[in-house]
Amino acid sequence: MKNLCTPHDHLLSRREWLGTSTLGAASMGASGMLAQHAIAEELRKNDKQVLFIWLDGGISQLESWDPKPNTTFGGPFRAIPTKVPGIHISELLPKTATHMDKLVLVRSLSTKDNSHSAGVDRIQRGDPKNRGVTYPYLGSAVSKLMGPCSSGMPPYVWIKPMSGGFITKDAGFLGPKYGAIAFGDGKAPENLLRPDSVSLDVDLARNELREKLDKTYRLARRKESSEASSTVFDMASKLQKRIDLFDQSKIPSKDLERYGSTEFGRHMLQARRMLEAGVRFVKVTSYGWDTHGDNFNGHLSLVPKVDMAFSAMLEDLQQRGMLDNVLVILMSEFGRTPRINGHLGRDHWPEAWSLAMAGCGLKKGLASGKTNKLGTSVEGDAHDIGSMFHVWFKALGIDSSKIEYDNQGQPLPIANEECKIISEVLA
Amino acid sequence: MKEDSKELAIKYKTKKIIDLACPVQICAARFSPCGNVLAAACFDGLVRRWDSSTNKFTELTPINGHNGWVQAIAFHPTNKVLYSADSWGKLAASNYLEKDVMPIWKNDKAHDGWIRKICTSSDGKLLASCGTDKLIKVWSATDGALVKEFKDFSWDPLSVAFTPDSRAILVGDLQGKISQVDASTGKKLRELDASAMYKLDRLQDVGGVRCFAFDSKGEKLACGGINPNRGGFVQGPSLVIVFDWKSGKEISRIQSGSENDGFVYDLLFITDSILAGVSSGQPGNGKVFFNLMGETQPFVSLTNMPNCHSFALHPAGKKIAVVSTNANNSGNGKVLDKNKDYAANYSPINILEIPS
Amino acid sequence: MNRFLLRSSPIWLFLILMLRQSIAAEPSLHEQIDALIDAKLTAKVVSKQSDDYEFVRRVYLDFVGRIPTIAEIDSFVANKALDKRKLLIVQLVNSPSYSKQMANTFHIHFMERLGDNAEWMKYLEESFKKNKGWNVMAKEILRGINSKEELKGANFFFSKRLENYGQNPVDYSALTRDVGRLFLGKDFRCAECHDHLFIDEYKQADFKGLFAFFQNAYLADAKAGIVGEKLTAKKMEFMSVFKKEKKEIAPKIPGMAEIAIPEFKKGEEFLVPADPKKKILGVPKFSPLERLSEQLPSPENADFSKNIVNRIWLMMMGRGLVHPLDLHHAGNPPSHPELLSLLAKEFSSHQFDIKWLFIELANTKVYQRSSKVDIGKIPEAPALFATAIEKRLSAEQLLASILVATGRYEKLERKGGNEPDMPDVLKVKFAKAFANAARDPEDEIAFSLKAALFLLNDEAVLGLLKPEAENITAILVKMNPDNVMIEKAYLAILSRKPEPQETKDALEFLSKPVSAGEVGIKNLVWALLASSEFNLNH
Repeated sequence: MKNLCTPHDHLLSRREWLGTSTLGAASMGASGMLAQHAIAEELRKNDKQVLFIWLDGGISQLESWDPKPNTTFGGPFRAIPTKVPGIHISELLPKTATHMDKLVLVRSLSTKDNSHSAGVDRIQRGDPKNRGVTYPYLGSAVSKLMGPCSSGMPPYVWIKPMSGGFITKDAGFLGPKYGAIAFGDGKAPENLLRPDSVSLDVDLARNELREKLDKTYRLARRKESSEASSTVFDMASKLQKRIDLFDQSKIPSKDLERYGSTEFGRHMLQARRMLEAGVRFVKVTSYGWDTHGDNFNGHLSLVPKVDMAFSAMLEDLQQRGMLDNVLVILMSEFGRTPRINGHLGRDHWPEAWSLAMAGCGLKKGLASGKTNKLGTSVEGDAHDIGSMFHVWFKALGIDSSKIEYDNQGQPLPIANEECKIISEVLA
Repeated sequence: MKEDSKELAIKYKTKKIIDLACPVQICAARFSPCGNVLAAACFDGLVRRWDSSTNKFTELTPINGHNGWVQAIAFHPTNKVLYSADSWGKLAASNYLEKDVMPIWKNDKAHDGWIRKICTSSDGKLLASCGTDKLIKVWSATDGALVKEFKDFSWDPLSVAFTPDSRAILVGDLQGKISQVDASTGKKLRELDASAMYKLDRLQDVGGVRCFAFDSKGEKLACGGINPNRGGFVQGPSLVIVFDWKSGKEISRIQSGSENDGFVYDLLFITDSILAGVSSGQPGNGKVFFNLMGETQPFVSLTNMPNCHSFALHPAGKKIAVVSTNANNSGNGKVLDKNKDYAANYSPINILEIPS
Repeated sequence: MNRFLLRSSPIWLFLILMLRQSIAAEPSLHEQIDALIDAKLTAKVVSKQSDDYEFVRRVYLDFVGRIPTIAEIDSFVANKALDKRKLLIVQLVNSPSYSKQMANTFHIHFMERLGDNAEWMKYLEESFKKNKGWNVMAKEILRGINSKEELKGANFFFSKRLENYGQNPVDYSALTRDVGRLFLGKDFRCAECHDHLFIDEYKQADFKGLFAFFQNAYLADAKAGIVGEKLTAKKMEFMSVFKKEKKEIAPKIPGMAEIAIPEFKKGEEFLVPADPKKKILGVPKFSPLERLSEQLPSPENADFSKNIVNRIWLMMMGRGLVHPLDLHHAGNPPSHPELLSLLAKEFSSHQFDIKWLFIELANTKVYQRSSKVDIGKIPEAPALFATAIEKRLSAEQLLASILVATGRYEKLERKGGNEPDMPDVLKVKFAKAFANAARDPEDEIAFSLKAALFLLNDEAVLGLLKPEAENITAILVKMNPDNVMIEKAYLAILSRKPEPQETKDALEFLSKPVSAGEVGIKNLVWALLASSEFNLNH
């Protein structure tokens, strides 16, 4: 039976849970809304992007960003120094260690959910306060708040193993328009290719007429229903112009070598190409990180593959001058228990875990927050995922204390207002 | 002489003598050839010792000096030497009979990282090791000098064993390949197929050949691992493959009934026709099994010791040490014990007696 | 005084209607509905009534599951009878197509694309054909273990939800939530582990009481979809994660009493003892599912009536009186509370007669309102129903409509009944392109990139544009590009006549070199089919 909450949540009384909004009435007044529109326009003009790498199942912080070698729960691996003196990470990430001067580690995450089914959702939705609405995943949120880049490419793209499709549930209350387009194993969505029987001229002509018809229809009706249609047809035509992004033969073999010819390596490489093509938010997911058994052999097999592709990505983004513009996030839904179970595995651990990030709006070469000697709790300020949402929005130029969603008249904060921003990681 | 399974089940109905307490988890346990010492390689960099000359099993001072996990131990066949290897790459030789043990020789950088297994040749001259640096190294047993190093980077070696004639080394790797390599030249002599013990599940390489055992005549080779269904939390029935050593062909396969059973971590031919071993899979699951050669299922299967990682036979042949794990050893989140502490799991050592 | 009367005149009208009711001549339900809706529309921008073209298209889509053919449009428009709308409604609701369309609508509504099953569809079609009361249908569906041949299809609601996938156990929590949502209009998701934190009325006991009905149900035969029940001999234990207080509960419908679990002597608990060798399922004497099926759909259960009338209201009007549909609670009041109560009461007292309710709703002014507003005016908030809300078309309605529009519908095979079966290949493709993911209710418009790409490039769609036999492309190609031709195209596809500017635009389009001949006609047909107007039930 899946429990959706843990006792941890409910140390707060109901009143505290409901709380009072930090956004006072003043900022929600008419002038507030107008200011929002102006800000939104500004955001749309900027071409900042996000690369969100999701290691589904829970990468162990002890076998990656926050090793505790030679301690009770440390496991067999060693820690290695990195390019930044004083910051050590697991020996499983040697290449990434050479890029530590680009990275920010957050070692003080402490979140509420230790289950995958609810946990993945809650983390990617920023675990906001419950207002009876389903909040959007980060990708959908950015898609809504910033819109597509000037390239016109779909704003939220998801590169994942196995099947692709149109993932509308990510968008929550924002509506299916802000869902993700998933490229299953990097393949183009079905029907992307214009068949031979339809030439470019014919395609342009028929769409021109369709747009005209819709314009007429819209004159006398609510805008929303037909606007959605225009947007997606527009996006379809933009995507069709970039068929090359799905052509595996166009990838130089040298690149494939550097990223690794693993599934993850190929997907990361495609993610880079998507970023280069001007996709606002690219999510890459790797599955299978839930190492309840044989955790150490598991991570020994998995982490170096990420190390390879991740460091190649950082190198490439830097080289292309993109690292200042792209916010890179590498994380899971929680960490793994210090305690090692009988199957030589580690179990779920939202209590104290880490993530890594780089790029747009962030400092460089920093490890923020720490855990105690054994890794059993955060020392100092612990941060829930809401804090990260504040950080990420700020890094992208969105002030989460001023901008809100407007859910058909219901104003909603974009990040959990009870979580504080982590200023020390922001540039 | 054909033995009846029912008779054997009675004959091998083991009796618990004593449980040895150990506050941490153990990778491997072995009895010394003289039978006086039981040694256990532990998660905290110690090799713990017990006096196994009596059934009291008094604990002796541990051997220290290691980092990370002491992953593997091996006794010299005749000299009073215990070899130990850890997950940071250190290899050491110690006189295990001394009260306060000092190393005879040591090598902090024997391997770059996790040493998986070590073994001694039956002629007492050599020690072999393999590690995550993908190297197989052969050392002089007496002074630890490097005799030979094999670099074949296609290997992710997980286990090594000398062949009975001490002339070759078996390497079992992650992909289920068993390579027989000449110990002095490094030339690959042949390959045996245990690929059933491997699977690439999504991004993860799962499984591998985890242990070897030769029978006393050197006619049969048994190897143990898992038949992986999936990675992540790793599910799969445990798997033993037995080869006819001369021909290199598979003669028997023993696969357990449940995919919770996990890896076979240790194997030993108790007699030339009885193979014993232990397995550990999902928390709470794990078996001590005794299998008659030729049969596909064990005649004794003990399930009362959860998550077993090592099996050692006292040289007199009557006592067995089984390393298991404490009950309730898994759990998401911060599960606290009676004293409200977040305690580590540990490995009790179960000393069993085979009735006469 | 006068101003007061004027402003509140709809209220007065309502009161007069109510007075009339108590005297003798009762206002019909549809009149009462309009009065209550109109009561909130003073000084609001209210759309006109739909014209004949709008109306006939809407009512065919809702009751037949497709757009009307040109012949059906012409016949309706030409009809001079004053009560022709009333008559058309009755005609369509009593046509054989109605049962197929309602079966599909209710299938999407209650199975939420979890899976398809031929017997289930047959059960639904038969039920609508016979106009079974909703309380009877709900009873049969919630029984889960119907042995009568003609009711076996109803077991699908549970059998599908009792499946498990790979390592994952059966999701009893999801099943419980679905029953709460779909039959009571309450999503108890956040009351599984504790009382709901914000919705005072949703208690953990509500979730657990419902859960207790299903905890011992299981899928006895996955292939045949047979559900079984293990023994329920004692109450179910539970505890809030807040207060570590042990509680126990018997199966209990929210708002109703706990069911007493009878005690039986050991060995006497089963009506039919299980015999695994003979593959006989054990049938316990005490069946929680049986009790559920008896108690939940009863007239005493206000939640039950309110939920269904709210859902049927959405099917007709595009938005629930309580919206979202599964969050009935004090903090989410209906837009028109008296109306919801009225509908619930009337439906219940009319034996949950579905056809009757649909007919009443279709005859309201609010249903027949246009979705257009005068140019320059801003439509009111949807919850006022001042303007008709554009509704989503299901994948099935779209497919049928495209086949009608392109003139291929008549040629389809008809196996028994009057409405043809859609070609399987097209059914699958359209569902893939237009249906939501499982458990994502299709109650809102959502036009996806997937759908756009499908319409743009899929061979199946492009194939429909090819001129063949007497389909629309073939007909149009033979005509001269003039007003008559454009009118034909519009009538066939958009079910109406074009405005003069539209005709002008279309002819201009066809006159371009790139639109010469057949290519231009195909483009015209395609553009009309891909337009928002075609893809919506406006």
